Parts: sequence; structure tokens; C-alpha cells
Amino acid sequence: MMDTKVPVSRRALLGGVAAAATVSAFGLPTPAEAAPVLGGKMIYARYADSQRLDPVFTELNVDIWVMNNLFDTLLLPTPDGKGLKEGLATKWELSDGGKTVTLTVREGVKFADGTPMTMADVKFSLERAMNPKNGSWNSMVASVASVEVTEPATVVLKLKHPDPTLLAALAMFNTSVLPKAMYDKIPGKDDDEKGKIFGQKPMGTGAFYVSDWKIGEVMWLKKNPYYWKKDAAGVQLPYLDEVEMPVIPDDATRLLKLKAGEVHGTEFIPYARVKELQGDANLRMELWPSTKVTYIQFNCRPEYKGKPNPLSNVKVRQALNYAVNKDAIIAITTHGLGKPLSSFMSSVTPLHTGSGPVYPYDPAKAKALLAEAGFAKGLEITCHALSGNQDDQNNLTTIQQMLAQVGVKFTIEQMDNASRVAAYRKGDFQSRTAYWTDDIADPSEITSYFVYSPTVDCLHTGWKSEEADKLFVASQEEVDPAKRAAEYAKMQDIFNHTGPTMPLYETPYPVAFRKNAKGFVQIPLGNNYFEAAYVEK
Amino acid sequence: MNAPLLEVRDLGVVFATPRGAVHAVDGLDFTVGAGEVLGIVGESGSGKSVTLRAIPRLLHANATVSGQVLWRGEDMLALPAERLRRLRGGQVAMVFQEPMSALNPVLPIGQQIDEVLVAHTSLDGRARRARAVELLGLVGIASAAARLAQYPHEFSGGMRQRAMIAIALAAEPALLLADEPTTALDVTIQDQILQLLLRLVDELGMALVLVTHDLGVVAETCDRVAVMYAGRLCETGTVGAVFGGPRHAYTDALLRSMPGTGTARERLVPIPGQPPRIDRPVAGCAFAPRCTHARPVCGTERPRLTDWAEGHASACFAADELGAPLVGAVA
Amino acid sequence: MNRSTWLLLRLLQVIPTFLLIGVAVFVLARLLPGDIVSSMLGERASDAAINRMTHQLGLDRSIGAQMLSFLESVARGRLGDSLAFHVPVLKLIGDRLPVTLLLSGMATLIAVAVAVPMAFVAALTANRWPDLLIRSVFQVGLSSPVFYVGLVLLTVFAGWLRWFPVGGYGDTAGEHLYHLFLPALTLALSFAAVVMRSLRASILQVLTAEYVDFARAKGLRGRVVLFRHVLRNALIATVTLVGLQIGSLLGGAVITESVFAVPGVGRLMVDSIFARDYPVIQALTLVLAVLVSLALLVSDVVQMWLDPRVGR
Repeated sequence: MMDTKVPVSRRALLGGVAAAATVSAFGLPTPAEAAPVLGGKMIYARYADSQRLDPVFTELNVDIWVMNNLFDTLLLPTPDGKGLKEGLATKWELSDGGKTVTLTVREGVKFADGTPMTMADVKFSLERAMNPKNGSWNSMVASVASVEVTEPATVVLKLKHPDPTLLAALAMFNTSVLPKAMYDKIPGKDDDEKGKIFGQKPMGTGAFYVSDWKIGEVMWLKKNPYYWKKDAAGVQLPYLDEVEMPVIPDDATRLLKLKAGEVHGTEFIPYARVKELQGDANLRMELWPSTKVTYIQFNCRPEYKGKPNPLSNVKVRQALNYAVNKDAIIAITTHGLGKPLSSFMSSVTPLHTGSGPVYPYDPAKAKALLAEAGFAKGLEITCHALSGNQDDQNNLTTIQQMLAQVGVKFTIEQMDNASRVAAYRKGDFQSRTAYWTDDIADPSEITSYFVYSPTVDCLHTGWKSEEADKLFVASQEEVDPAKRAAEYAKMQDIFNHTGPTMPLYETPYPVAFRKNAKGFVQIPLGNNYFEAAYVEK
Repeated sequence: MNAPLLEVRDLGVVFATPRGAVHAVDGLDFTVGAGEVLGIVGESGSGKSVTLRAIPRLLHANATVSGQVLWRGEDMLALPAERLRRLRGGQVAMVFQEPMSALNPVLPIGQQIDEVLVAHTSLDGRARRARAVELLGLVGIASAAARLAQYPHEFSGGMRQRAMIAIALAAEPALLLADEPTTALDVTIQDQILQLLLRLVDELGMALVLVTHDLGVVAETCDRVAVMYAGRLCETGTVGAVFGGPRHAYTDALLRSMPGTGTARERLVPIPGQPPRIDRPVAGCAFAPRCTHARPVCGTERPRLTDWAEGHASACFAADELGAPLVGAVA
Repeated sequence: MNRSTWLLLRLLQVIPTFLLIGVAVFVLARLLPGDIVSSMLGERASDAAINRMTHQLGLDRSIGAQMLSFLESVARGRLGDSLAFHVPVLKLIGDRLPVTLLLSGMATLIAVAVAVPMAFVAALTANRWPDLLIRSVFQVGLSSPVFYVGLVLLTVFAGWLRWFPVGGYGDTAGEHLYHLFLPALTLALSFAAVVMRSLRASILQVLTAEYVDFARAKGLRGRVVLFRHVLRNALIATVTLVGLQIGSLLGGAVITESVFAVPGVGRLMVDSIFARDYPVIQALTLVLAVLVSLALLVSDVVQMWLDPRVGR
């Protein structure tokens, strides 16, 4: 049992450098050349509106990626997404063999309405996030047994067992600090009902607050005059007075607005238009490393719709992987902006191992494996695609052609979102397209979902590896980083080579700005940071 | 005799149809004097309605009209559009056969009268309204003032016809062209309308051309008659002369086929056969195939209109055989 | 029966229509596969979370029970909260409906202003070159998909020429009209094509009517004949058509609102259907049914005004 006052995990996890983002594999420029301009408004067009700005009950990226501007957590993720840095907490240490976490909270923090933040707010927010009845993220902090706070600035968490993921969880959106006094006054019989109202007019300690919101149309963020953070030069953040976020679902229209200068920046630039924007002198294309992975997943159960399921045979799954040329898909769908996956998790997810594509393109080997599995004559598979989704279209039609060459008939079934999700949750699919983005800077989330069968039957596929399950359970309490990394390496090895997926590619977040709009940061988890953004005249 | 008001010379009307040219009217001549009532009579398809519409140039673009229509010496067929418009409704008015279709269903009667007054007189609003009331009274419609605001569908059949006549009379025309004005009406109403027309002719000194298929109507109301068959004129003259002594085989046959023109208890003799198709030009006399007096020349040569007596002309090779008054002939 | 009685009966007719539509929508929405809870909570939500929310929203009750509670809330004028946005449905619709109404109104005006004169010219020059030209141009409008036309107009007039803003709605009344012009034009194109064809046929038919000949026989001026006699009668049939077209206008509004980022109910409808947001779907369908009924009612009334034979 380890007993040390030096926060071991902090040293290990604080790998990346804080402050500015570095040049990554995707060729990012280093920001902040000239001095930032203070004041003004930035207009950033989004493809969909937020629905519920309640850190505990939200599910959607459209909420999560904006909330970091409104709320703060005790710890914050570093811009490269792999490490942790100070948030509301300035110091933290583990003790008691990793079962106690003591944090020191900075003083003088105020909510956007001027109310000072107290330890009561911190305790209340954490307990709300821990409540198993609340939302879907409480499992992230499930290891916390109790939260004790002492004024003016100390928080002590007592854990049920050592938890290597907890610090990362304290940087996750669901542990944001909310104002208890204001929240208590909201009518409602439980946290969900109160949260609905709170989520329409949220209040936090972040760089901005929501000043106005026309649902489905546009959201306005105004600068929090009491924000605690300053930049490296000591200038008060945020630089901007206001951020306006109109909702424009149509890609073409969003880009037209950007080119016309009616908005300063926008997200989800279609891959096909990235080159065009890179060639436009008035615009700046930014490709931020992301944890987003795109893959196909296979149902591994022995039967599907009453008939024997060929995908239950691992050799068949491997054969399909060898039969598909991932480089070609990357070229076709992402116009070269993607990278082949070297594991089921993205290369910027902590504890990722692997280099080079998981399966090289080898149709001969694919045919051999199929023959070994008894399918020399070929087989038929259906795949659920999301109708209207261009990427699914491109990926699947290419895969269809490639699989046909090894004797596999691949039928694409288009479904609308609700039906597809319903089928997915029941495990009622033979194969389907899917993608994933991490919500926490720790591999446990994706691994519990993909690899650890008790969670959701491994992506609802029915795949299972006893060894991997055991490894995962151990890794959830392993505080020695080296040991934990080894466990993860083994899990990835098992899953990548025998698992229920065909990994396709990882892609960056494609956002674009006018030349004079700078300072926007998007971390691999997806969060959009406007605190250091500014618009030059 | 004064110069005739209307003189039609060699009127021809050809319709262009998908099946070829149709000669609806061919070589028609007749005149109408001031205050005179001329009846144009013939079977359906004889071209009498077409003749009437040709006079104020109301036929549609698929009709080619030839010949001359002289109104007080001026050829209406050659008049520029604006002068023609002033004549229409002003000096030469027309009454159609079916008032329910001829009256605009969505406009009140008063407005439909008022239009004519606006187009042809310089009366002010009040004067026009007074005149409209007067006109409705003239044609025998009671509660005229209230009726002005009503719509055609609120009038009975006979009333509608009276209203149409009132509209036609609004600008005090010198000539009224009436296209089968009573055919669509009850027999009792028919008589009323005819009496009305005659009274108006007397009171207003108006000339009237009455197109009908009913010989009885002609006999009762007309001064002179023109008999048409297959687009051609057969015989023309005073009613007394023509009905008393027909000089055309067709007129003769017509009279024989009608009750009241022969002795009582004498058999009616229907005219056998059908009128000819007018989409092919007919050689010779159009009536020849059905004529009991037909001669060989009738099949090859077209008979010309020749004067038989003063004001009585016919186009028939057998004219000399005819002319005997039928017993009890109307006169 | 007199005209006021006819009008009253006509108004009363709409009530059973609404009831039927309400029930139909309720049932149909729930027949769609997949449900709002898993759709909303996303693929990753735990079963526990899904069950909890399903129970909260009362979606685990029988259809009968749900329908009763729905009818009850409608009777009380409370149409519930949007399951996706957590705001009252009426507020959502109330914010967006005027936008769509304005857009549709502008589209109708533009369509009629263009179609009526063009129909006249086409009918009066029937089968000659002006008629052929007009009919071809409008045929293009009729066959082009709304999405495509909208995108072209947006790209050319807003993107390249910068004569109009790129979509959106603006803040003041003047800005609304400015922003909505291009989307209204997009919607108007196929609408105008239908109206033009119908009116042209109507005019051609009326031109051969007896009362037009009679009007000419009365020596009326050409223009008088045209406007007072021909147009009014020709419009009667077209007015009914316009009323019926309003329904498909609202359908076209869905696509146009997406392309031009206009915050109207069209987009709300599509989003709600994909998200299986039952309260919004139900309420919106009812609202749209009311609108279409009103449009038909108005066109019936206009017809009654134009044609004194109606409502006798």
C-alpha cells in the first residue's frame, strides 16, 4: 500500500505542457503571435443548438463542447488532451494508498452574477454529479465515497478504492461547480426537474455566461466580469466581450456565411471543402487533433435473425479487416485528412499503444482466412447506416466494393437515427457504422464501453474476452502508471486482433476562421475554448 | 324605299377545323330597313346564328369572313377596331339565345346594364342608374330598383331574357340582332318576349333581325323573311309573299311539313333525309338530294338568286313549278 | 340557406377535422420505430437512465392512457414541454410560427404577383412565342427541386453578388423582409408555376365563354372585358387551387428553412420527427392543420366573395 505525499499521478499525468498547443501531427500553427485585441464580438456558427446546459444531465456534444466556457471544474485538461492542469483547484495530492484526494481550491472565485463561490458550492456540485440517479456520467465518479469540505478552500474526497481515473474525472464537465444557493431556489422535485430549468439559464464561474438564447436559433455568451483567470502576460481573460453562436444546420449555408464574412468561424467543415478553404486568402483552416474514431462494429453472437451469424467467427472478422484498404477509404471519404487507426482508441487518448494500421491491406490473406473459416464460397452481411450521412455513404459503398472482391456480399441498410439507435441497443444488427469521441482524458471510458463486457456487452455486439475483462477490473484500481499502461497495452492487443470491430480512421476536428479571428482552441475531447479568442480589426 | 340600314352582300364564313375548312355561310345577301323586322329562318346547322354573329364581327379567330356588311353604307367588316367597338352595343345591339350563359354570373344585373351606358353614353352615375331602372321597367320587370343589385341566377328564365334585352337596348340601338331569343324559354314566356320585342320595335322605331327555326314565330312577328339552308340563302321576301306563295322547293317543303298550313286532316309531309355535311363544298343545289322537284341541273349547277316579284327573290330551278298558295296559308 | 349560414357551417366543419387529425397524429407518431428516450440520451446511455426517463415522460403507460392524458392537456390548452429542448411546446411554436407565416405570406404574394400577369400574357398569346417562352420558364421552376433552387439563389445572390444576406432572419421588421426575400422567392417559384398553369387554362376557357362574347357585343373596351369579365371568372377556379397549394407551401418551407437557416416551424417539424419529440410533433401537426384549414377557409370565403352563386 503506498503512502506518499507526493501526488504520483500528477507527475505522471502532467506530461504535456500547459498553455499553448504544440504543433501536432496534423500541422497546427502555434497561436498567439501578436498581442491579442481586447473586446469585441466573435460570431461562431454551429451546426446544431445546445439543448440542455446542465453538466450532470446532458448527453450531447452540442452541450458538452460549450459548457467549458460557462463552468469550471477543479482540474482542467491540458490543450493536448493527455494531461491535467490547475482549474479551480491549485494543488492536489493523493494519500492513503490513493484512497484520499485532497485539493486546495483557489480563492476569490466568483460566479458570473458576482456571488462568491464557496466550498458548499463545490460539495453540492460533486454530490449532485455522484448521485446514481442523476444522468449518465455518475459512474465516472462512482469511486468517491464521500466529499468533505472545510472553508476556506479545502476539499477532501474519500474513495472506496484507489482510482487512477478520478483526477481525470475531476476535469470532466459533469463535475462542474454550480451555485448551490441559486440552484436551491429553483422549483422542482428532483435534480432532473431543477436541472431542466437551470439548463436554460445556467450560471457558472467560467469565462462567459449565457446572456440570451433563442432556442434552435442563436445563443449569446457574454464575458464574465468576475472571471478568475488571466493569461500568461497577466491580462484578464476572456479577451472577447461577447460570443454569438447562430445555428445553421446546412453545411453549404454555413460555409457561404463564413466566406461572406457574416460569421468569424464555424465548425464541421465538410472534408471535401477543406482544400478549398485552405486556398482562400481570407480564411484559415484549422485541423485540431481529436479523439474521434470511426469504425464498423460486428455482431458476434452465434445467430442473427434466426440464422447462423458468420461474424461470430473471429477469422471472418479478421478476414473482413484484411479485405478493406483503409488508406483508400481515408482518401475517398476524408480527402486525406484522416489517419489509419493503430488501435481501437485514438492516438491522442492517454495509454494508447500501437503504431501503424491494425490490419494492413491484404485481400489474399482475407480470402485464406475466409476459406479456413469455411466460407470459401462467400457470405452475406447487412450493415445499418445512418441515412443522410455522407460519411457513412462513402465509407460503406467503398467497403462494399472491396468486400465483393473477396466474395462477401455487403448490403447497406439506411435507417433514420431513432430506429438505428433502437436496433443498436437491442443488439439487433449484423454490422453498423459508428464513431466515438472521448469525454474524459482517460482511456477507461472507451475501454469500458468497447472491451469490458458487463458494461454494454461490448458495444452491444456480444463479444467477450474473459482475460480482457479481468485486466480491465484490475486497471480500474491500479495506481502504478507503468503497471496500468501494461494492462492497457494487453487489452488493446486482445481487442484489436480478435475484437468485434473494423477500425477505419481517426480524423481531426475541422474548423475554419476568418484570418482576423484568432485564439480559438479545441481540445481532443472536443471542447471549444473561447477564453483566449479575439478578433482583430 | 329608303336606303337600307343594313345591307349584307355575298357574306361567306369559313371555319378552319382540324378536319378541314367548313363553309358555314356561303354567298348570303339580304337587307334590313329602318324599323323593319326581318326573320332569318332555317334548320339547325343552316348557318343562321353564324350569320348573325358575323355581322358585328363576333366570331372567333378560327373564322374567315368574306363579303360585305354595309351599315349605313360603311362596311363593318373593314372598320378599324375602335369604330367597330362604338357601333357594337351602340347602334347595333345583340341578344343571345341562352341568357344564363350570356350574362356574366358574377356581376349584378345593374352593373351589366351600367357597362353599356358607360361605354356609349356620357351620363353620370345617377342618370345611369335612373336609366337602368327605366330599362328594366321598359322590358316589363317589376321592382326594377331592387332587381338591379341581383345576380342572374336570382332571376327566372323569362326574366333573364328580358334583362338581356334591357341590356341590349341601353344605348338605344337602331338595329337589334336577336339570336333565337325565345328558343330556350317556355312557350307561354316565348309569346310574352315576342310581344315585348314587337312593342319595342314600334315604340323605339328599332329594326330587328330575328333568327329562329320556328316558321310560326316568323309568321307572327316578321315583316320580311330570309330562308336559309346549308349556309345558303334559298328565298327572301315579305312574309306574306313567301309563305303565301313559296318559290323555293325547300320553303315549300317546310310549309307542308308544318301544322296549320294545310287543310285540317291533311297529312303532314316531313322532309326526308338529312341536311348535307358542310365540311365539303356542295356542287349544285344543296337541297337537291332531298327535293321532290329536283331536276338534273340541280345536281350540277348552283341556282342563283333571281327576283320573282318586287322584293321577292329565290334561288331555285323549280321556282316556276311552285308558288301555289297552300290552303289556309298563313299570311 | 343564406351566405352567413353557409359560412358558419363551413367554420364548424373544421372542428371534427382537427380532432381526427389530432388522434391520427398521436397514433402515427408512436408507431414510428425507435423512441425519443434512446434517441435523446444517445447510444451510450445506460439502460437504467433510459428506463428512468421513459417512466418520467410517462411513455411506459399504455397508448390509451397516453392518448387520454394528451387529449386532456389539449383541452386545458397545455401542450406540454418539448422532450428535447425542455421548454414549453407552445413557446417553441409561438417563437417560430410567425417566421414561417411571414415566409409563406411573402412567397404567396410573390407567386401571385408573378403568376397572374404571366398567365394573362400566356393565355392571350396562346401558342405563340410569348406563351411558349413563359410556359417553358415556369416549367423549369416546377421541375426544379426546392433544395437546389434555394442553394443556387443563395450562392449567386448572397454568396457572390452579396445583394442579400446569407440566410438567417435578422432582428428588425425591415431586416426580416430583407433576409426572407430569397427563401420566399425559392418557395414562390414552384408555387407560381402551378398557379400560372391553372390560371392560364382557366382564362383560356373563360375567353370562349358566351358572356365574354356578349360583353364584346355590348361594345365594351377590351380592357374592361379582360379585367371585369375574364379575370374575375378565371380567378374563381384558381383561388381554390391556391388554397390547396398552401399546404404544399408549408412542406417546401421545411427545406427552404434548412437551407437558409430560417428559424421557422418547418425545420422544427423535421427535427422533432427525427428526434421523436412527440409533444412537439403533435402540437405542430395540429397547428399546421389549423393553418391549412384556415387557408382553405379563406380561399372558400374569397371564392364566395368572387362568385355570388356559391353559398346559395
